[in-house]
Amino acid sequence: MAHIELKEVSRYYGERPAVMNLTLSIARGERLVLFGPSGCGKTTVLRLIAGLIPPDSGEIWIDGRLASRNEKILMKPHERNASMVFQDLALWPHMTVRENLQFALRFRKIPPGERENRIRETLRTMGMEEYADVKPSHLSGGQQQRVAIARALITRPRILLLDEPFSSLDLETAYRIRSEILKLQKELKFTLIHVTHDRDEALHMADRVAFMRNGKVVKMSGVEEAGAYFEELKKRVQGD
Amino acid sequence: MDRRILPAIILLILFFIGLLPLSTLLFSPLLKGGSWGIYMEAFTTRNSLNLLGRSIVLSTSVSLLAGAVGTPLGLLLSRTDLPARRLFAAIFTIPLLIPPYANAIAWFDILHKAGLSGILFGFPGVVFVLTFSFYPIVMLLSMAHSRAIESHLEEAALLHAPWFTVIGKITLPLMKFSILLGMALVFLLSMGEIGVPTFLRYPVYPVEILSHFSAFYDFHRAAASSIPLLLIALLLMIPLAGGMDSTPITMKGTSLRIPIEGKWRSILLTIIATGAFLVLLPYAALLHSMGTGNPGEVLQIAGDSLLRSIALAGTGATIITALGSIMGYVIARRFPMSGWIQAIVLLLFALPGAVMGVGIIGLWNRPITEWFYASPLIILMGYVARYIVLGVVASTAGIAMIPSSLEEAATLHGAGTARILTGILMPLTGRFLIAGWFLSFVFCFRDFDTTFLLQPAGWDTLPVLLFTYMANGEPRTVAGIAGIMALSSLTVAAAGLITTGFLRQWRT
Repeated sequence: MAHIELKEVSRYYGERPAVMNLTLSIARGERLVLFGPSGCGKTTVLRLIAGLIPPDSGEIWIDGRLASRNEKILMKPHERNASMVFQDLALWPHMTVRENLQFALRFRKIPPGERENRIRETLRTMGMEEYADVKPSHLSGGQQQRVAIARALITRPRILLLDEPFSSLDLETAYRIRSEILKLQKELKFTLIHVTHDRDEALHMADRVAFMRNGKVVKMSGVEEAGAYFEELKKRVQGD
Repeated sequence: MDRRILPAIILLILFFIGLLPLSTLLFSPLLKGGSWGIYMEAFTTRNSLNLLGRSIVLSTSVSLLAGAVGTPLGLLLSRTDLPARRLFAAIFTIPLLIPPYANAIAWFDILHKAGLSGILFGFPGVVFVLTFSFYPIVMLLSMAHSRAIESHLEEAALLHAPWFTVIGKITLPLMKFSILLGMALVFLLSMGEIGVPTFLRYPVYPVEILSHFSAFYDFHRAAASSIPLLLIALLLMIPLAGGMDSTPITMKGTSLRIPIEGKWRSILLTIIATGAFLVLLPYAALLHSMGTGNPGEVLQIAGDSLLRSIALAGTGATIITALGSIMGYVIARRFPMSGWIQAIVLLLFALPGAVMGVGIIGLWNRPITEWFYASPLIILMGYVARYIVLGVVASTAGIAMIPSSLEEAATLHGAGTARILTGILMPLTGRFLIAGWFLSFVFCFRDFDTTFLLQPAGWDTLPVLLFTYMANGEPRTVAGIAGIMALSSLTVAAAGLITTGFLRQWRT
């Protein structure tokens, strides 16, 4: 059974279609990259899966449960066991790093002692232990990125949604953090859906790449095939 | 041009119209042959302390109640998916557009008809009328700030918790500054209010200033009595001004709606509709009284004052919009010292009108400046000093939405400052400037405290006339003048809404 299924999903912003009749099936533990130009509907797909917006038509199934259908959100976002790292990170500025992580655990059935252990352990994994009591505005871009990922992973989500979180990082830091996420994904086996318009990032993170244009998936391919497709696209652009 | 020149000129203007009059308050009792004893009296006599204590308790009560009513109302009307939110928001804003003492008259009128007017007098009545008059400040600030919160901050929390918790732990803490600012403004406006406590027979401290000046013609004592209010305003506003730049909001704002489902939807809608009915009720009663009286006679009594009010408010609003747009540009583009400009205009707004009025008199009531002091220009100066913040806020909001790259692009093509202002900024912020003009007009039009103290002979405005009639006029005439006051304010506010709405549609 697929972990996440989108059936004939459409979503409009006013008159403009962001996603059109999208059907997509994502297996448990799979790493899917949504690749495409700005405005092609990648982020909208993530927000639909997270339950932050309802589809205008179509159905979204998660873990065999109907999560959203025809303008209705049936499973609330916090019931979907999904975490998301936003492009702008969305760290709560009035809370310290520890409080950001504590909030994420608030509605999980975890004993208080275990909670503290998990916060310590997650911060250690991300190399952020010494910044636990610091507010996000006092951290560098790379450190903030780590906190955002720590906050997303601390709940041990079944689904991790990444919305171009590395776009503002330098190449080296981005590569290092991507590798850390991949390591954690192998360990924790969550389903990873990653939005990007960076070719190297897509090939680094994906099991499969969904190429999107104008709210539709125009091609779905494995990593090797995607690599070849990228080359073909490059030649086509240079030929123009 | 050096980026410090424009803010320096603005600070000089603010010093001239606002800070210099206030500094005369501090020193004139000494300079004019008074003594330290006058200051001490203001702080230590039993009567002064008693009145000051009453004023503080009154203002604290009003501020807490306004926060308790305005904050949830602001959230409900700006962020939920309840129907007719814009209509309700417009209705709930009305009490702020009407002068507080006209609100008092409106409530008196309706309670009088029900034979219950007695309950309005004294402390509870003053608290009620002032809360009714000022809760929209907290509501409007909450609405503006809750819409400006970056939506991802709430979305990130929604992945881990239900809306109720997200509001408590994310939304409200991020709005904390606006709520506190709103409550502080309500506190200070209540502290300086003269009309309502006078009408409802509850002695408060600012009346002491007024009586020193207008009953005993003792300027030194009036100036010394103003100092505690000035100090309280400074104590409250300085920490808030310091926090202005640290508010974590973005101009991207949010389109996230808080879904209200099930029985809560009908409960909250019923509460809001009942509240809106209660807001409209006293004005309906006032207009009814006006209609059943002799409107022609009332118009004859109030006609000249009404025309003077319109002329003064129109001129004041135009000056405020022009000056405020330049100040707003400096603040939105974060010029050096822009924090100071923000803090000063806010302080001038929050200061009791009587304090500002006494300060302006102290500075300008001299033989050499008689030509200015005895002319309506003195009232305009009072308006500009008190309400410049409205022009600044409107202009800042408009300019902050325009990326500075638009100006940079124009500069690259050789456009100078004047061309950028007229060709880029003015057309793009026109709607905000016009909204600022209407808002400033309403506040100048409703001003009583400053005008009452500053008016030259023969220049009484409608609020001053109303105050005079409140003391010794027939209740029906008083209700009629208050009705004209309310109707005029609402007409101007409605014209503002229609004009800005039309401009928004036209631009898109």
